[in-house]
Amino acid sequence: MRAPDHATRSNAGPSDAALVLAARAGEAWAQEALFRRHAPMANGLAFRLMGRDSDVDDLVQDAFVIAFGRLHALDDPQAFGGWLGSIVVRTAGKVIRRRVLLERLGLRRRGEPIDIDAVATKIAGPDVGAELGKIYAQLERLPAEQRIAFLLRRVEGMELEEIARATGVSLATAKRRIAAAQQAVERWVDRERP
Amino acid sequence: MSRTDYKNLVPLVTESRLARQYAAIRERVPAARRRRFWEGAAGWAVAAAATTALAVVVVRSERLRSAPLDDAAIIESAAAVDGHPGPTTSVTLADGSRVDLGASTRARLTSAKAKAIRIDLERGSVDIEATHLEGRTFVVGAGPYDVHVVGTHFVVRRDPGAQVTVQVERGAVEVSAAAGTSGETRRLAAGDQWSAPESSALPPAAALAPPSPVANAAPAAAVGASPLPNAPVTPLTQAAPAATPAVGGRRDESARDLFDEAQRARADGRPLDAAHAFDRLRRTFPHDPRAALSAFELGRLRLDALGDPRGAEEALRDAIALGPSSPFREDAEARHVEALRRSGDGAGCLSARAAYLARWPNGTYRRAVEVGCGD
Repeated sequence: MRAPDHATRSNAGPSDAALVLAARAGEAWAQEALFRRHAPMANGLAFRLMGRDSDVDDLVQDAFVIAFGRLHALDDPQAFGGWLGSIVVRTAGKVIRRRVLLERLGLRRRGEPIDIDAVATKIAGPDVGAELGKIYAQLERLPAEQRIAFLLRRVEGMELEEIARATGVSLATAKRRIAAAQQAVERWVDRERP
Repeated sequence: MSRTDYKNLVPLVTESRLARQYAAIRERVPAARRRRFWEGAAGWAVAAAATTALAVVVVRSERLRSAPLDDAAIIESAAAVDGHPGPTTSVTLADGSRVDLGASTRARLTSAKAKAIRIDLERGSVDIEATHLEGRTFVVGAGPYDVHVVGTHFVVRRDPGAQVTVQVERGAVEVSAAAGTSGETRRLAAGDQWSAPESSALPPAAALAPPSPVANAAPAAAVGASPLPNAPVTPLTQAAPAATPAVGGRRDESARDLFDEAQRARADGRPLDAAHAFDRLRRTFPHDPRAALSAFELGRLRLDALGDPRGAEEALRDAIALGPSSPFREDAEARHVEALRRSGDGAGCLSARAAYLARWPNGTYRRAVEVGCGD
């Protein structure tokens, strides 16, 4: 997963590598600096993957907790941003699977409203917002793996190899998941045509 | 909607929301210095034997265990697994002296009597914080050498058949030939490090050359005689040559091992050990991707934790040379200016400052660098 641009910009304060090293050494300020630097990216990615604002906080917090707990496993300290993004992606998959399970058990209400359409409306107009809201609602019916792979490809614009790395699967599996999601979306679009 | 537009699909992230998120994260992330007790479950093993003499407390990670350690007790620590150390194995003697065992260490508590403590190091390293008690002797045996504690914090490392290293962080120790052999005694003060090959110092006592003043002793490797070779005493913050890796140096250790070792040392609050590991990495593996970062971190440690601006200046200069395109180059150049000022090199400081301002006219540290030479 590509690291955010600002993570390597030399005039943006201490490098990620320096911050990671300091955080590993137990310096709390470095941990907070890493959070401050990468929280906007993590919040945005979490929002686009989940489609609901109410899911974002837990996902972002889970991802940072995992990342800070595994800093010692990060081979390239400068790659913190991309690594964190991968953790957000994988954690999102778990959250979605957990949510599906809760719904099946009747412990969670189905079809909670999508929030992303409201944001899209502000950016691209009400028609686009409505369309996007419907697409996200349809994506909710897909298995978590397919949904995330599709969003990483179509919304995040990631390359196939990046998606495979971020989701921890082979290139072939990533392609299969995206294709399956794509077909499902196309079927839905066909049905919606007048 | 283009992908650029998609990237604008972000939730409302306010300062209060970020603060709330981070507060929740902090609650769930254990303090970095706090080790989880289940890590490295292989842990330690203690085989006590013989008579009761002096009670000690064995501390593993943050868990306290009490176990009677007697004369001839063996204390061992777990080996590192995949470059990750097990929990620190610590032995606290009843007098308050503390012995931390490095990875894969085996030592014998040869004597735990109130007036005479002796630990014989078979392999690995022991980091000792010794209390000062009048009339008590405290000796660490490391193959052919004895390290006599005067009341101090010091580290002894032994690579059997290869090398013994002693470094003193506080107080002083005396290094001599082991009991039963003759030789010089060398006193090491705070900040000193001494290393000597072990194999050349193991001739039969009868074959030993008569003791000679340290200053005139022939190199041990050449004569294979003196039980205490005239090994150089190196200030701790001065780099050891790459060809003879010092503290704990093994020829088969990898850059990753050293990097991990440095990280562990920093996390454990042992900046000297961290500095040595970073130093060895950059000198032994100058083409490794971690070399420049190691030099940078070494410079920071020397400047901030070890009070060695000259050493920091050298390391930071090396960091810039090793990683001219590294993401932390600006940080290194700014620190270099500071190191030059603190080491009293006014001309060098001005030159480094001019270089920084030319390369980073709008840099993060511009204001600090502009006044950084005290002019």
